[in-house]
Amino acid sequence: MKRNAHMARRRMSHVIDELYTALFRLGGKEVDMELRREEAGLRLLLRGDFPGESRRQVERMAEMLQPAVRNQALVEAYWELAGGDQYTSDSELSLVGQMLDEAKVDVGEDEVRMDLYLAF
Amino acid sequence: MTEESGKKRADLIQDRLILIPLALAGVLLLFAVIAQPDRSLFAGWWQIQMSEAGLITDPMAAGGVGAALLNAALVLFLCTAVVWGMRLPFTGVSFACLFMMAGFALLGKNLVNIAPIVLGGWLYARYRREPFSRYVYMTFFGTCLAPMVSFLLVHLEPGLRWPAMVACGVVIGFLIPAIARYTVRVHQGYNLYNVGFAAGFLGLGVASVLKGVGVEFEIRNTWSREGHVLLCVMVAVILAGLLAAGICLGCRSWRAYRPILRHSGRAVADFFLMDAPGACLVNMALVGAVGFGYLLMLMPLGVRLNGPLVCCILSMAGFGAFGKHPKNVLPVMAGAVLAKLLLVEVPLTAPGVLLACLLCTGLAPIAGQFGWYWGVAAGFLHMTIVQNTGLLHGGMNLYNNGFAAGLVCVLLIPIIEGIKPEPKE
Repeated sequence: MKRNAHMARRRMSHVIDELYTALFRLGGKEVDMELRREEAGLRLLLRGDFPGESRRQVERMAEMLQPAVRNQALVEAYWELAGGDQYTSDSELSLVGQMLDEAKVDVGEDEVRMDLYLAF
Repeated sequence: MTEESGKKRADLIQDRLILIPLALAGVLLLFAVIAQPDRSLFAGWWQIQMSEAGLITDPMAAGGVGAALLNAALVLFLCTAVVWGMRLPFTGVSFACLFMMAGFALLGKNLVNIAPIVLGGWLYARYRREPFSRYVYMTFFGTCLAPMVSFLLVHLEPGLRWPAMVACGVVIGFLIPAIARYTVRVHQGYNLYNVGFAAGFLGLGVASVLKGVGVEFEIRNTWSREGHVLLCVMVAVILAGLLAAGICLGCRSWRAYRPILRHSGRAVADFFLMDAPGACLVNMALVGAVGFGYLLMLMPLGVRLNGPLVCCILSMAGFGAFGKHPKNVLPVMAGAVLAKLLLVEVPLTAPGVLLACLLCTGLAPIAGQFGWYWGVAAGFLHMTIVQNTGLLHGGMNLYNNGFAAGLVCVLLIPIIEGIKPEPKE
């Protein structure tokens, strides 16, 4: 689905805000991000570390970012809620998962790698 | 989640959950025929389409119990068909929206007064060059301003009424999505009835303009006391059906249900996307049962189920898929009852108070996020504020409790965040 680039940029900034906040809150020390502008969208490549005791939460995060279905009507009504709040929770990560057009998340031993795509 | 279980869930959400709203429409239709098994059913239904709908108007008083249920069944069926036709998945927000549509068809919405608003939402999508499916829920929720359309239908000259009501509905439907997207930032997702908040402001604007040109709104109060036993049976059947569906889908133990309770409920808590569908349906039944149980407790004081009260139960059950669960709704309801007992000079069984006690649960995320005591405070504040908000929009916003809940958030959330310590890293 085509969206305008301006809106995709705004949404991506919410995604980035939410993800780095969540990873730091889980005890991560370092988050590397690479943002690429592609022909039809924005791609975010992210790598972050996490302590062993946060593994369950990171796996939950991976589930949220790769939902079984995406509901665009839900996103349209609520996307402004993602990011920018001090109480990062399941709800906001779930919303981020809904906002993305594609997501691939690999949870490793002590780091997580994400390849996230948001179409224009 | 394994790939196989993910696919199973996707299939369920995409294809099979539509049966729930269809079954609800079927139950409403069945009880409509039981309540009015003659031609008065259709005459009453037409009477409902052509009558006023502002707060608090019980269509069961206007057209009969069966006619009101028929209206709810038709509204629900058509809205479900629209969602299905757009190939949208049936997730928590779909259930919240469709149950609200069915519920509020028992408190003022009907096919005639929602149609122009839906047209306005469709025109907005065309204007934005985006598919209507993106705005369909906001538009459906935006039909809470349908009483304005009915008001023009009833009060204008015959030659003017149809163009005026279509224009009014289109303007409402066109503006609601933009306003609702903005208001969600104001309350930060702590008011589950976001469009009610947005519609309150829009209703305030439109009502003020109309008052400026000499239109006078009166707060109405029609309240049916017919069909109590039948409605009790119907609500019990609906809630039992949701419970049974949840059990069939795998929620057979406390352990299976418990994950729902860990959510604060703050938007966007779409339980169908975050947890097992079976647990969501059981939660819908339990949240509806909280509202139903509260009303049954008040029966000795003379409370009888009618259109508006069934509306509240259906709304609560619907949002059991999108943010509400017993743990976060009970403190808010307790706060509202407490405020009523201490402050408000109207009986606990007054129509507005009953509605407020049940619909204040739109503030449930405050209890879920900040603790039960803040939930009690939110409910308390809600009960006091909601008594005064109806006048602002002339009773034209059916989600008056959503408007009041938004105002409570504006007042309370900054205070809570100012007092509470920053979350630990």
